[in-house]
Amino acid sequence: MTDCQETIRDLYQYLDRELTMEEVCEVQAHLNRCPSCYELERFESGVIKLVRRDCSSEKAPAHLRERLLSVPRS
Amino acid sequence: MQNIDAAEPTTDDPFFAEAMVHVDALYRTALRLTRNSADAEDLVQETYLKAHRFRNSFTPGTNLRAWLFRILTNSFINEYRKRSRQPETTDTGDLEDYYLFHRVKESGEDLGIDPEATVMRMFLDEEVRQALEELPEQYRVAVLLADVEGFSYKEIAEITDTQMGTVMSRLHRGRRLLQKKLWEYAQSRGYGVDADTQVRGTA
Repeated sequence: MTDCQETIRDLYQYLDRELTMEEVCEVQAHLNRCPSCYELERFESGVIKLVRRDCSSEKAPAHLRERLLSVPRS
Repeated sequence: MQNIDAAEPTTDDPFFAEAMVHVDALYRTALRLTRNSADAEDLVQETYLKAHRFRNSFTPGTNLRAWLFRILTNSFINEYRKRSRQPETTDTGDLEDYYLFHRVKESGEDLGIDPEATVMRMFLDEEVRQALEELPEQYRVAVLLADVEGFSYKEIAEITDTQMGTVMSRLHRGRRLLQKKLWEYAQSRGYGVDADTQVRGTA
C-alpha cells in the first residue's frame, strides 16, 4: 500500500508519466482515498499546465521561416 | 517520405521539410533561453544550419524532434558559456518541495474543488515566462524540455548529455525555484501578505 510519504516522493514522476503501470495504479489508489495528497496532486498538475500554457503560444516569425528555407541550398 | 502541407513557403528537401515542422517549438524554447527575439532567431538559424550540415549523422526513423533540440541546447550552452560565464549551477539551498502549494495553503487560500484550475488562474503568462527566464540555465532547460515540450526524462537525458538522475534532480530543483519565484510575484501583487503567520499543518 502506497502511503502519503511515498506519494509525495513519487508525485512528479507520476505527473511526468515516468512510473510503471503498477506504480501508477498504486499512486492512483492512494490519491482516491487521501484528500490532502489528491489536492497536492491536482495543484502540481496545474502548475505544470500553467507553465505549458504560458510558454507554448509564440510562433516563429515569418521572416525567420523564410530565412531558414534557404539553409538547404547553402 | 513525408507529405507536408504547403500552406506556407516550403522546401522540396524532405529532411528539411520534416525538420521545419518543429520550428515553432525550437523558437519558443530559444526565446526562453536567450530571453530576446534577435538572439532566439540566430540560435534557431544556427540549429538548422547545423542540422543541415550534420544530417548524415541523423538516423532516419529516430526522434528528429529530440535531435534538433539537442543541437539547439548544445549551441545555446556553448555560445552562452562563452559570452556570459555564468556558473554552471546555482545553489537552491534547502528549498522545500512543492514550495508554492505550501505557501498558498499557509496563506489560508481555499483551493476549491478544482485546485488545478485555481492555480492556473493565479498567475499571468508574463509572470510565468519571467519566472522561467530567471532560472539558472540548466534548470531552465530541464523545465522547458519537460513541462513545455513534454519530453520524457530519457529523452531529456539524451538531449542534454546527462544521466536520468541528473535530469530528475535538475527538473525538481527547477520546479522548486520556479515556484518560489511565482510565490514572490504573487506576494508583490499583495497576495497572502498578511497571512504568513497562519501556518497550517499538512497531514
